[in-house]
Amino acid sequence: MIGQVAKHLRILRSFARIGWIRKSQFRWEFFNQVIMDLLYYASHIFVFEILYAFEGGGGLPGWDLAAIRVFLGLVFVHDGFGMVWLGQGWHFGEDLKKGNLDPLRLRPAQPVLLYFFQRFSPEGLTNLLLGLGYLSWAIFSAGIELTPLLALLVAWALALAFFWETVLYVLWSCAEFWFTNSDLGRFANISIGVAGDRPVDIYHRYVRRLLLFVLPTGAATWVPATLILGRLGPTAALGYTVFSLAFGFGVFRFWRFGFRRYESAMG
Amino acid sequence: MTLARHMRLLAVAVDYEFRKVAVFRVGFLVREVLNGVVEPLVMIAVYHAIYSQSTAASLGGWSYDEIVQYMLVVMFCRKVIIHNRALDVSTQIFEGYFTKYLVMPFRFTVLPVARWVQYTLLQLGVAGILWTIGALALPDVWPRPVSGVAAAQALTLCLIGSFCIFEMHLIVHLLAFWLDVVWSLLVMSNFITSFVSGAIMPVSQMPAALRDAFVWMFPYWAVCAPIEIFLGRLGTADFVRGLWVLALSLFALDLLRRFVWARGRHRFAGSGM
Repeated sequence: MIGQVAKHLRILRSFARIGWIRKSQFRWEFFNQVIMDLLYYASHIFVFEILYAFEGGGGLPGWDLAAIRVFLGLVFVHDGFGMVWLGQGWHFGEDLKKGNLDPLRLRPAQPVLLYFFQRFSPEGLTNLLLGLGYLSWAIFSAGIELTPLLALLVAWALALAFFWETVLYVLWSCAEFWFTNSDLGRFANISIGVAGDRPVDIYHRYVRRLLLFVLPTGAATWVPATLILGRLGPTAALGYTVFSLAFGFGVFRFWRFGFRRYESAMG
Repeated sequence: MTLARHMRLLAVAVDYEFRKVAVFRVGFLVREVLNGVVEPLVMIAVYHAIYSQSTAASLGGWSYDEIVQYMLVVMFCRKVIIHNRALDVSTQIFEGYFTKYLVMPFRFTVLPVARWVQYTLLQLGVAGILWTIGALALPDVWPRPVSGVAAAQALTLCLIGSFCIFEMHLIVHLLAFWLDVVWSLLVMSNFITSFVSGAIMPVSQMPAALRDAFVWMFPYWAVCAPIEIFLGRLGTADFVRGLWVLALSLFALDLLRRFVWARGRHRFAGSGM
């Protein structure tokens, strides 16, 4: 077990090294991608700052401006993690169609890790660090007391956000095994992902449950944010973490089932 | 004579573009029918939560009913306006199979224009069907144009605005003659266009400085202004102003596209970069 973990960590280190080498050849693109993500972050910040500045408006129920900034910090950080490690996921439908997944069958390692983590992005890492900076500022300006417990909660929240980001990329791609060239994975990643970029308690309770337990985009943002803000009790946090692990590993198994079923290009 | 030949080519290319999008049925549903629908619905949920918390009848000059109607029309504008993944000119340049178009006796631009025509016709059809379903299912909340003239003016601005955005995307694709990757520029232009056009929230709800700047930019006249004309918040004088802004933008974008194309072709050596 430990040997398997160590082997996969070595693979990740190799992917990171290759990512640095690859990106050193595309310097212009490095800056483009950093600016691109900064524009994405800026549009989110602008929208909420404007919505909270309305005269007579009270913002979102249960979310004052300080709390919504912590939430946005989590949105940026989970997106940053996806940009650093999971960029290949955006090409899944195309790779499947062209038969590019075939070599994964021959590699003695987990195909989910080999496929989704193969494209390490240094520019994504830059944006992840900027996202972490915004999150730290948001936590600090929210007046949350800086204690060892808070550090533990932040670490827990980030682990949940990163785990769920991975699970969601894998989950969305599963549909492509059955509906080749449908763009369903990309559509789900963008469209259902947008729903999770807003606090899920603004939705009707059925939609909220859907976004926390069935198509759980809220798990990568809302749950970690409420954990940091101290709104999720220890029992609920532990319970949701257990659910996250069960759901996540279920999704990985389901992906491997789809991968075994898939025969090759257009299979 | 040449124009007639190019129009015939355009018609044939549009026909092939239609066949291409209809091949994969689930892909057709996702790409052509559901495209642009979710984001405005999420914003309606955000606005619903904000207005339920508010003590004022209107926020930023918009009542709750008005903002819901605005976001519903945004859904249709987003469908009709061409998106940043619709073209593949940069891939053709990178991979070199673009070369064959340069030795054929027609203007290459006819092919991307054919895609814009196919995309617009298809999305107008889909939007018409969805609009009818929405109006029948939710007659009380569904937005209605203040007049037939206003609806025609709104559609005119939206379509010309879509063509401006198409020209902008085409220019970014042609940068593949110099750059090794252009998708980040396309995504960037998409973020900026979405924000400036009012596809996320009405420009009139934004601070005055942003509002005053955005009314001089073509994306505003592709989404926000047409919707405000449709709902009766802006009038014919604004429509005429919008036509001027769009016409000048289109002229400038077309000149720029021709310049980039000429310089790029001069540099092209069989594959991009």
